[in-house]
Amino acid sequence: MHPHFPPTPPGHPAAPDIAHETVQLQRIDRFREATQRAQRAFILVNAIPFVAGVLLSSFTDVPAVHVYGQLNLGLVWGILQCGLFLVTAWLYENRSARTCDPLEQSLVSGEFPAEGPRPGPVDAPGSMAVKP
Amino acid sequence: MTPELLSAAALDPVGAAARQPVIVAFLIFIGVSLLWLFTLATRENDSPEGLYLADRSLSPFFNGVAMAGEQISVVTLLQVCGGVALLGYDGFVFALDNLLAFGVLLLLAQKIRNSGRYTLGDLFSLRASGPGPRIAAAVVTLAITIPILMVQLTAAGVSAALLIGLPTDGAEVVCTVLMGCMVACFAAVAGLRGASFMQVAKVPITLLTLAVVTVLALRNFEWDPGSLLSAAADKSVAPDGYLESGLWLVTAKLGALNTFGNHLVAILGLAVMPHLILRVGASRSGHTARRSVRTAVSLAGAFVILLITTGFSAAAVVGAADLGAVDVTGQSAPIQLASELLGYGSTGRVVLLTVMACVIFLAVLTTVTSVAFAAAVSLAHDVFARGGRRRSDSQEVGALRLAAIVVCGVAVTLAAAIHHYQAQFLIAFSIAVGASCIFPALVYSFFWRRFNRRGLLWSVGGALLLCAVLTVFSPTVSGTPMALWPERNFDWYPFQSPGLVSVPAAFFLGWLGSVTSSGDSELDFRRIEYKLLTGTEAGRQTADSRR
Repeated sequence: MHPHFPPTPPGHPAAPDIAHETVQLQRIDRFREATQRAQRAFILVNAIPFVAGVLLSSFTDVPAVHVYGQLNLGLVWGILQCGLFLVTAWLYENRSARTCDPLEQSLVSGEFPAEGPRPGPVDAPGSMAVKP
Repeated sequence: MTPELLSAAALDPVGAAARQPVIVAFLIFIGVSLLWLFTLATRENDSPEGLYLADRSLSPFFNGVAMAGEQISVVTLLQVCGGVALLGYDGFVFALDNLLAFGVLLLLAQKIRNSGRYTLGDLFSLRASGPGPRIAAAVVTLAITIPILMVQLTAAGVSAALLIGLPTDGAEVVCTVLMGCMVACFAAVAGLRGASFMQVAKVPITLLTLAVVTVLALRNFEWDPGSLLSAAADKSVAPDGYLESGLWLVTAKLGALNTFGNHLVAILGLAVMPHLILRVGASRSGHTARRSVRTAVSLAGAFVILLITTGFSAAAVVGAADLGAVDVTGQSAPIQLASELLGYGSTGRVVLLTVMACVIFLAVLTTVTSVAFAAAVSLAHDVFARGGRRRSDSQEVGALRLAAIVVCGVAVTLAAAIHHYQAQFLIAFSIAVGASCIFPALVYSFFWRRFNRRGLLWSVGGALLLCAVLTVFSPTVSGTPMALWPERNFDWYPFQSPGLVSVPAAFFLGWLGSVTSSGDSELDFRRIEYKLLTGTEAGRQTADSRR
């Protein structure tokens, strides 16, 4: 509802326990790493054939090479790219569900062990601004 | 465009025998849609989030199918298919872009959903406060959606006129206006849940119809894909170059960089369209958003492959000469293919044509509704509901309905006004705005810790301005045969898509603005990053309970 964000909290969200905080920060790092690794792999595997295909068809006559019957390299390349994309999309989702989602789970559940008795909705934003 | 050159038979692919069933199917279709619309209208559902996001209650699979449906627009259905049929390899590669765009969305979906935001205004104010980003977001949303609506409505009007057998300018404009009025009603009443049901119904019908058409075409060539491809090449304008790049003369003349830029901008731009962002925001959680996109990827893959086979079939069965005779861009390819596959006068032909007509009407209704709805949500949520005073929920819903009707009204008026012109530059403009105003802002917001308000405003504003200026001076507006004014010559910008300049410029301006402004967003970014990674606030309950 509010157009503005609440002012930046002066410290990291209320977590007096420094050891706990360090664990959380490590978890965030590991989680971010895992997500980025999966994303990087997905981007690289798809971008390289795509860029290669576009460059080859723009600057050379390689795609016109006949492979089988009417099929030439350009068409085969496109079909393979399409297949590769579909397969890697599935693999990316599987990998994310297998490696990243558990990390996220541990992060969320570890952040505030006493999540059950949550503060009243009225002072919820206020809890952000607890002075250290 | 050149009807005087043609025989009457080429202009009327449907034929007298199939005319009546097609018109009857059309009327039944409209009747059923309107009935359903009334049942939707009578249901009381007055919370804005219930209307915008179906209360985030759609299942991941259902939402994924609907997401694939968003991609099956009348423009992809007709223009990509026609592009493949007329341009061969060049059209084929552009069809693949439609699929690859989902890859970008797959990478961004979880973060978009985790942010808890579903309009551009919300996403832009992730890292920048105040009304400025929201106004910028609303302007960008309109700059994307209005041109798309215009092109889609025009395509809808032209194909509807073709189907009912009146391919004259007057009839096309009347059909465009009628379609626009229907879409306005749907966008104002249906809400995301209603739109989703239509999308989900459309996907299997479309896939099945395209598959049947392809199989029937293959049967004509004794089940030999090789001879179908040969026939497609033989009947094209350049039999030797059909399956190689370079048939698209306008593009080929502008060089390789232009082609590369077109592909890249299409992939980036199609991925971040406002209606797709709204659809991702309607997922239950970050994981389900990712899973929905994967479902959408699979279905879109099937759709794109079938679209390509349909395009080649149309080229083989109908031939480029007849396709170009009805419409220079080949937009009538699916209709003409359906009309020539089975013998004249047979019941099968009538059924096939009728089903194809229904697929096209459904594609018009669903995607145009989605786009108009996303624009209306942006106006109601970003501009109206945040404009100073607090508004009640029912006021916001009222604003949404009004905004939907206004957006459709504007789009229909403009579509009717530009009916006689080549309007392809509008699509290029929309996609370039998506790629250069939304994509860089999202990437910076999600991944760069120093991004701030000035960076966002510079990036979005600069990119929008560049897109507009470069489009005006690009070869899509003047100087080429397919341009808006072919006889004028002020096309000093050498590329078709402004994105080739504006996307890097947006990244640069975003960086420059952020670096020169003194705001320290380090701590803030930690909190936002936590939210983007997990979907929950650090230290308080999820933002979803904000309402």
